[in-house]
Order: sequence, then structure tokens, then C-alpha cells
Amino acid sequence: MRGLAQLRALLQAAAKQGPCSSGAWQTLQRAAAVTLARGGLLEQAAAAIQRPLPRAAQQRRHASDELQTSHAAAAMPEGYYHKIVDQTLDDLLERLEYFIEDLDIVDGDVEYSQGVLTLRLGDLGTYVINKQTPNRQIWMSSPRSGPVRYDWGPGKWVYHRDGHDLHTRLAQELTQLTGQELDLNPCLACGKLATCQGEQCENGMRD
Amino acid sequence: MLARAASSLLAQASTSAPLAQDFARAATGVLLRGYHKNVVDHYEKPRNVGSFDKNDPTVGTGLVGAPACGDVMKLQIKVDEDGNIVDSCFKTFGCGSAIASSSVATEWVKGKAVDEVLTIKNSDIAKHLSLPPVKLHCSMLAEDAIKAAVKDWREKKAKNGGQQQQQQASAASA
Repeated sequence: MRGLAQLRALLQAAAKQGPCSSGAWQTLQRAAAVTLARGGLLEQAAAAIQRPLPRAAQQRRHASDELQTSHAAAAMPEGYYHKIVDQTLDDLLERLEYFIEDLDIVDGDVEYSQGVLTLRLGDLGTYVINKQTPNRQIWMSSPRSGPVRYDWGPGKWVYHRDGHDLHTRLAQELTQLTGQELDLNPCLACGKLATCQGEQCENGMRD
Repeated sequence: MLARAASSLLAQASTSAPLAQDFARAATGVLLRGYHKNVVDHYEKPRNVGSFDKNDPTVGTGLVGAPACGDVMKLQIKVDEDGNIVDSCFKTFGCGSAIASSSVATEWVKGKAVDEVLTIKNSDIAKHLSLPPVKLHCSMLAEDAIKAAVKDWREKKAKNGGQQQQQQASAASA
């Protein structure tokens, strides 16, 4: 009983530490980095993120590392997270709908509701890609490679253990699984996932 | 709750027309489908729940997950001098799949060498429990917990080994 109380106290303390662990300073830094990234200044953004934290922030980060909270995105404001993640998933949904239409798979479909994108490929398995708001991540469950957690930044969703990103992994796996080429690179003109097919892109037409 | 509703439906059905009986049977099937029996078994009768003293040098503690997400898993191992895991226990706050995954993990690591348990994959646990795609993350948490526990034990051992050597060295010079 005492052990239970201790663990609960530990959890409460960690919960308090978690979201605010990196402090306002890091929030600002990340916001700046994201802004840079959006402006296409990826190198500057990467440098901004790699710059060491002030000592106090570093110490607080170590405390939360024990619980393996998401380190990269812990300080991202929630509103900003939703903006990015919704855009990512909406875009993916649209692209995957085109993809699945071209495939001839029994029971193949893709749906998105309440932050969960489900891609069913019949006998080939099911992909689930979902929002994980508390730690500002996207989680993917793949029938091929299992579960992965992605953090934002900069410019893509990255798995911090090996550095691969969501779109690259998904495009590779789906191409291999189905035998049909899937390109998940964004359109150079409008930034969307090539659903515009180049020639139909409004921005492209304008240029 | 659902099961009770279904069984009362069944009870009613058995006294009425065969058609209603079929319907009730179908309804129970739908209502009771969900988690695999292995998950339910480990969830209802979790193995090895408890704690060891985390300051004990023979104990390795793995604490993974994020409280904000509602999943926290603590898995501990007790290791003998030959590097074999003689005992293991866990405490998990989380969903049924997370609890079942950690329960299975403690069962599997017992009696194995520390190097051997590092080969336990999340996919093995997920397969054993027939976890649905969205719950594969729970099995990953269990794999992470095992690795974290072994890492903790190794770090402690390295630290204690260093201290012992120092003591021996100072005893020899005295």
C-alpha cells in the first residue's frame, strides 16, 4: 500500500515536471526554430535546436528524462502542435485515399476520425497513425515494422532513436507491401503531398 | 456491465422464440469480442505485481512511459552473481494491454540471463497477447522497460565494481 502511494506521488511530481520541464526559454527557442523552418531556413533551424540549453533547463530536463518523456516536443505549445499534426494527417489521408483507389485490395480503405488515421490493406495488415497530444508526438503502428513514435522537427516527423522520418518510412513500406510506387514527398509548388499531381497544382499554375 | 446485459438477454431469449435465441447468441459474441483471452487473463490475474528495493545492488529498475499519456510502467529484475535473473516484478498504470504486456514480460525474464532478455522483442509480446494494431505501443513499452531495467542493473554493477576495486586497492596499500 505504501509502495503504491509512493509511486503515485512520483507520478504526480513527474506530471508537474513534464510539460513545463524545459521552461519558457525552450518554448521560445522551439517557436523560433519552427518559424525558421517554415521560412525554408532549415539549416538555421537545426542550429537553433542544437544550441545547448541554459544550465537550469538542462538540469530539469534530466529529471524528466528518467520517465522518457518526449524530449524534442515537450515544450511545443498545444495549439501549434494541433495545427501541424492536423495538417500532416489531413494531407496523408488525402494522399492515401488516392493511393488506395489505385490499388485493387479487398477490404482496403483509409479513414480518419478523432485524431486516428487507419489504413486497412486487407491481408497485408493495418496501419494506425494517431495523434498523441500529451507528448506532442505522432504514433504509428505498422504491420511490418511495429510501433514507432515520432517527434516534430524541424520540418518533418522524426523517430529520435534512429533519425528516420514518418513519411519516408511509410512510403517505403507501402511501396514494398503493395508493389505500387508511393511518393510522399511534398509538392514543390504547394507543399502538399503531391495530391495535386504537379500540373493541377494551383500554385504551380500561377507560376 | 455489458456481459451482464448480454447474459440477461440470453436468459430472456432461452424462454422465447428460437430466433431471439440466435440473436442473443450473436449479441454476446459481439459484446464479448475484443481483447484476446491471454490479455484478459493477465489483466485479471497479473503475475508478479510488486516492488523490490531499488537501492539493492542486485536489483535493476526500469521506469518507462509518460504520466501525461496515462501509461507508466515500472519493471524490476533481481540478478544473481552469474548474471541470471532470479526474480522480477512490475507495477503499471495504464490500459489492459499495458498491464498484460508487463505481466508477460516479468514471466518471460525470470530464469533467463540478462543478455538473453535483451532479445525479447515487442513483437513477441504482441503476438503472444494477439494485440490489435493500435495497442502495439504497449508491447513496445514492455520491451523498453526490460531494457531500462537491465541498463540500470549494469550501471549499478559497474559503479559498485569500481568502488570495490578502490577499497581493495586502498586495503592493499595500507
